[in-house]
Amino acid sequence: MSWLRHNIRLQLGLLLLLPFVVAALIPGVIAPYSPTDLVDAPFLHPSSDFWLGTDELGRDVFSRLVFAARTDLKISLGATLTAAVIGVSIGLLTGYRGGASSAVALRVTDVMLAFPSILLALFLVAVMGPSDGIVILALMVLYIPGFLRFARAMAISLRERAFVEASVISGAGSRHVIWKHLLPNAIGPLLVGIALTAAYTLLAAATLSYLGLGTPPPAPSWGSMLQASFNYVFQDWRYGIWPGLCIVTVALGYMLVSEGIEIAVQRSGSAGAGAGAVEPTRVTVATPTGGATS
Amino acid sequence: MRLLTPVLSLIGVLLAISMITFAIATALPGDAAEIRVGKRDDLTSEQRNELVTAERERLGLDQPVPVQFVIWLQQAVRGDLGVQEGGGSVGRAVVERIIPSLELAFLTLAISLPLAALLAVRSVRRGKRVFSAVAGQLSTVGFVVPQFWLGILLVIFFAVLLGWLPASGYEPFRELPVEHVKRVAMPLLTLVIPTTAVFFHFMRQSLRESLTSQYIRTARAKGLSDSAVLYRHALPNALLPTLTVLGVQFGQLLGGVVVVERIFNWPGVGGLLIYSVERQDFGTLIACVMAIAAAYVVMSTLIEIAYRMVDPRIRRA
Repeated sequence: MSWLRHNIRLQLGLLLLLPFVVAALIPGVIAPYSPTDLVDAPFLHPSSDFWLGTDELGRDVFSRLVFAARTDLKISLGATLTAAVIGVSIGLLTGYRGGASSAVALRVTDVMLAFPSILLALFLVAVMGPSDGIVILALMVLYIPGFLRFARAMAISLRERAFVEASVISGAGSRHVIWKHLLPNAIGPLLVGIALTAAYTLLAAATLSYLGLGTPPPAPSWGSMLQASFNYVFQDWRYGIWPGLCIVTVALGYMLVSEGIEIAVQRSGSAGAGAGAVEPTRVTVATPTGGATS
Repeated sequence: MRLLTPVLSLIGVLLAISMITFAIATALPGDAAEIRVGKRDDLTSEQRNELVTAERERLGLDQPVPVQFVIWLQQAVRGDLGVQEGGGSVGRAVVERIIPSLELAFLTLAISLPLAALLAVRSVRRGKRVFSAVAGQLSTVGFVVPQFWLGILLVIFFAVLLGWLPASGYEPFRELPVEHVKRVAMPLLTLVIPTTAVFFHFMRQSLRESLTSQYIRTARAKGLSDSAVLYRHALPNALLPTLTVLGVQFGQLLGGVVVVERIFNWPGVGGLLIYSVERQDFGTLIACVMAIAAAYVVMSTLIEIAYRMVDPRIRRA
């Protein structure tokens, strides 16, 4: 656990995420009520029975928040991890091999990044109909280019390094080089990017459900709870506070973990190719100077 | 010559985007002709089917998708974007709606950029460590707070608890300027806070980098004051890389505008977009997406041209 010591950002980030991960894993144990049952009158103030009061239909707000943790974490992690796997595989492969496939991959990501991100997700979900799976798919599509560019840049810079050349000279195939040399060297910055992207996907998913294009009702999600609360803001403004607080806490947790990993990677000195390793996984990639930052 | 390449690529990107949006929008579940005919209890199903087929032919939906696209493009070039569901020109509706959206977007930039520059310069000054730390943490918070929650919090505070501002709505500036300003305040603030946070992060970073350069040491060695070094030497150089993120940020900003319009009932193109998704209004949907994409692409092209003019190193490339 030496990587955790003296790393306040990582500690704090994990601490912020912990309750939400627990809630997502065992919501039934923590929540006192079902998230969809009408348990009492609407808009009750917080009490010992209903810790955060009841919503516009008389459902327990706390229980809904707990169950929504499962939905929101599932969507953010699902979209991020699938995007990472697909993006990194294509990126490493095309970056290592070079040539036409590499150029094509770069152009395609250029076009995708040239589109306001939330608009693309909104459009995809609108066309395919809102459901958890579709939201994951849309957000995945959104964040593949970032990972792809990052992995491609990594592969290109690592390809020229002595240990890779040595491996190739001693007869290693490209599969061996990618798995044994490129990926292990990219893993630190990759984790930084994954944690950061998880924050972005969480916010994007919440935005979609706020716009009514996320998890369909009556299943709870933080974004849709916020939207519902806003319709009754003049009747009871209190209940709009909580779902937003959950979103911000988890997003902040992800970001702190991302920064914490970055610090840990720098300390261990195995930052791989180093230069700009983290930058490409940010969504802000398309530079007006033509993009190709290889 | 310098301007030709970006302008050509602008046209290319717009064409590509229109093709993609058209393709995806055609895949929308539901048939525009079916929806237009609607439920007709007075007709037998056979009569109704005939009506749907006629409507489909009238709308050109019986043609293959590429042909539909070419027809749409020909009309679009002539400025005819079709008719909205329930009447009214799509083109006029989009133009009417995009002005309030752009008003929000440009006002946000006009406030955020100078504000972020000011904060960034202050936070890299010597002896401002507390300010820098506080500003850094606050901007991280500004980063993660989702815009819709920020908007809701502002409404709770200013409209519900204090009652100073109306919760939502729109009044044209020419007729009721005071009411307009009252209603623009909260949407604008909702957009300005996260945008400033992003620009601040970026400018502080590039300011710190430029402060380690030789020309700063020269300026200091000449005996210039701290302010002169920062504002006259460091800031202009630090602004250059900011220009590169400006384009992407403008895209993010347009996305934010869509959300903010929904919260504050602002009659912009984002509201029209969501409305057209709900009503499966194919033509309006494409026009809205195109309008936002066009605003974004034109802006990035302008930035690229500006960048080429400002930075002589790129001209040769």
